[in-house]
Amino acid sequence: MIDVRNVRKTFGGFTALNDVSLHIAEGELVALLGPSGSGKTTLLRILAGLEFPNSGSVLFDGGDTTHVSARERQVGFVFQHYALFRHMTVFDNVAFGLRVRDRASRPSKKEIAERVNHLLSMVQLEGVAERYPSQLSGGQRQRVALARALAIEPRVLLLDEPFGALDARVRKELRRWLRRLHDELKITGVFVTHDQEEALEVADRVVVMSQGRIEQVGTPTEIYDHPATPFVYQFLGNVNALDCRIHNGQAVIGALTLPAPAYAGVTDATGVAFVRPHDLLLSRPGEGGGAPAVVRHVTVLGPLVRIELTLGDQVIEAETTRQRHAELQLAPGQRILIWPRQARFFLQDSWEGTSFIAEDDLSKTSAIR
Amino acid sequence: MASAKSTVLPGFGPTLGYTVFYLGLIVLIPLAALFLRAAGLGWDQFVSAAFSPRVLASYRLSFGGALVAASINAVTGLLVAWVLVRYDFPGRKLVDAVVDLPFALPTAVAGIALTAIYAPNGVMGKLLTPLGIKVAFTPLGVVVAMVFIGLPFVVRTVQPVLQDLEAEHEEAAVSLGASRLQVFVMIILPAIFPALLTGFALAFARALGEYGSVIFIAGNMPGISEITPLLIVTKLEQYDYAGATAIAAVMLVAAFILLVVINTLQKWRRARFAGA
Amino acid sequence: MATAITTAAVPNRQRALSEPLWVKFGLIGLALAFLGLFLLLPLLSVFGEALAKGFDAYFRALADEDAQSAIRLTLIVAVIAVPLNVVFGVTAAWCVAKFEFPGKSILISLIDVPFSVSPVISGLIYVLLFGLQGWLGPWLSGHDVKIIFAVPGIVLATVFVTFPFVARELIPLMEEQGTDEEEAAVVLGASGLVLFWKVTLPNIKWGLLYGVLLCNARAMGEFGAVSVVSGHVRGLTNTMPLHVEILYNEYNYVAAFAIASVLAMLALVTLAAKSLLEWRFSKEIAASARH
Repeated sequence: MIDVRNVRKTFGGFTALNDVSLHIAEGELVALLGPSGSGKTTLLRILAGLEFPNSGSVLFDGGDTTHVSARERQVGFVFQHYALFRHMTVFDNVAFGLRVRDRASRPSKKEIAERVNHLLSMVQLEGVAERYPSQLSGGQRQRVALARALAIEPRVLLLDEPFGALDARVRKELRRWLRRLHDELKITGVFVTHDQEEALEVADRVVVMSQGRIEQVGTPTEIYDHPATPFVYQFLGNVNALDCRIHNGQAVIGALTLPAPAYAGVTDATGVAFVRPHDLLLSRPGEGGGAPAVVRHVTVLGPLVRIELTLGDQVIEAETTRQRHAELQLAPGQRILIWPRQARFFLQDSWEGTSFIAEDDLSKTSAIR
Repeated sequence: MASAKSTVLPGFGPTLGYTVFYLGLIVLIPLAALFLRAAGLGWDQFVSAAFSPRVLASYRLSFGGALVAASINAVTGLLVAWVLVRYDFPGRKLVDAVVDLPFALPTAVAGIALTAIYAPNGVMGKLLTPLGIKVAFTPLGVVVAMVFIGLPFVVRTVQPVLQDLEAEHEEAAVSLGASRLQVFVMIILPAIFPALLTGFALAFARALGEYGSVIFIAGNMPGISEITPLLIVTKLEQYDYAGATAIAAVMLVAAFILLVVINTLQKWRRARFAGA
Repeated sequence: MATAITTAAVPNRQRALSEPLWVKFGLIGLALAFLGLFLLLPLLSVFGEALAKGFDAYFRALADEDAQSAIRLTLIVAVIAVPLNVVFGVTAAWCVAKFEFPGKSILISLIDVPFSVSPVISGLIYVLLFGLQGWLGPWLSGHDVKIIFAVPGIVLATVFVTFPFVARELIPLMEEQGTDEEEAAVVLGASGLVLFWKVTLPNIKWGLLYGVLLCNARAMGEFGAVSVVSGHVRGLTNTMPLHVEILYNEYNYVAAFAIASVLAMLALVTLAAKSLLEWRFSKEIAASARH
């Protein structure tokens, strides 16, 4: 439905988007996720027609809309700070898009009223039609903004950090509500967020961006379980980034040696190993396999236990259940064995990495020291 | 950041005392003298002095002229403010500074300059006379001078508001399908309206009492092109203190009402657009 | 006088929000034409008329005895009125900005009075007080003291018309700066005047200068109020603006515009200094712009 091809955008000397390409299918809800400066908002605004790329093209349903203004693009845009028209009532705000149409395509007053009221009840705001934005709460204002954007029956709904200005509880409610609304309306949607939880919870697909580039595109599960680049690894969820040496098809992290057959031809290179804390298996010496590590610190966090360990000269973080913690009786200074269920290695400065996934039977693994 | 006012700091007594003393001496006592004198006139004398035909004609000219001039300034002031805030062009900063000229230029200088320009043999006068338009020594000249004097007011009250307008509101309107003109009329104009109105009121108040810039270009013909401040001066020269006082009292009441209106407008402006 | 906001043109107004180019040029052209007609033309004509008969006539007009005494009187009035109003302005700002007391808003409104009153009325009130038929008239003439139609009256009227300038600049500025620094100095043992001189004054110096600039410009250029209280006696009770009027009414245009041109140059210098101060020290004087 929307095709972004090799889009490049610079502001003065600063490159906001560097050769970005993306395809968004009809009816999808896509999240643009990344830290500030990643270019996600710029990309959204280019989709809206509020910015224009320096090079590259944007196609809607196959038609070139790269230089079409926002006015003609028929997109709905929702701003982080709502941008409701303060001097107009809620009703007038929502009706705005319908009223500014030229004579030929403008609906009658009755039709406008019907449409507005229908939209207000869809966003669960019947009854506030005659109020002014200053009399509404943040969550209500954002819903009005959404109704206003939907009033013009846009081809795609674009939201710029729509819940960023709201407090945590309202944010969670509206998140779920947006998802339900999207499923009901079956409209194509793209939203920008820096909150990974939001992206993973709401979106059909997530586009992870950093410094003007797309790092990875995939479903929430895909990008969480199989991060493609170091950046994605570190941006999503907790992860240990450990120095390792890669030599002849093996990755050595202190006392831990893991096979990395993809790097069979590599000799003596430095790299990074990513292991998620909850992917580390812990066992008592003699009772399982793994590399020796020393417990430094144990923190109980509700149902989980976070353990800080030293592996050689590196600090590594593991996560386990209360039950396992009780079994192991972990305490600072204690020696235990650790073994990763899953790990991913990257040669230094490389985007391409290789994974290690443990087989079920620990005893079958080799090169344990 | 202003902190809570303290009683720790020295000098409250002396400074308050001096301030009150100064104000009393310079402002209160003289004003009191005027009002007492006006009050002492007796109703009949007051009315005949303040509302005689000649005086009424001067009110029509002063108030009417100020109204027209302030309206012109509202439109042109908005134009100038818009151009200064939204566009960049060579010399923009210079133009921005020069807008304050009517504030800085002595009124008598402005008065004779305007007269020289619009007199029949002046630069503009030569252009306009063949068209049958007479500016100097007519009510039209009064309006021209009042436009000059009120020019900066609207520009300076509207400029900061235009400056602070958030692009997001305009972007929202554009994404909803509004044309540039619709954005201006439906979104921008309502947002700057209170400031525009305040500027209008300020320009009006200033033009009303203006003397130096207007006196030369007005014809000063009784009943036709005489402004009210001139009448006050005329009465004074004739030692008709009573007449002068009566007219001055009327002008002061008008000025006071305007002051209240302006203050209310400014409060409205601040309260109106909270939040959202 | 409102503070000019030295605005930066909004640099990144996107193409999405801009008017078509022809509209832009049209609006800029209209605005510049209007300003050219109403601001530039009068300014240029002052100098044009003054030099209409050549530089000789120009300088002769300025060297004329009556013109010289008018210049002298204008300077004397300014030299008296401006410092008086600075003292008032600083005093009033100190007590309004650093303390809370009932009736403060009435005080502040009183300070604004000269701005809302016609200059003619500003002069009238003093005539009513000190003129021959005024309250104190008989007493004054009995003691052979002349206020109205003499220099003291002119000074008084000028003081009335210009006293708000310094106060209005300093009050919001000092309010914004708060009392923290002064309180700290008191705790450290500073006395009143030392406190003011070493702590407050450095903070307000640019706002003070700005206020003095505006006050001075108005003091030298005031016409209406001074016209009412002066006796229009050439060489004695004529300030420069009044002298301009006399010369103009006598059809002595070159001389009138010659003196007017000096005043116009003063105005330009004021504008230039004003812009400079705003540009360099906008933060230190910007508080008053918030009105």
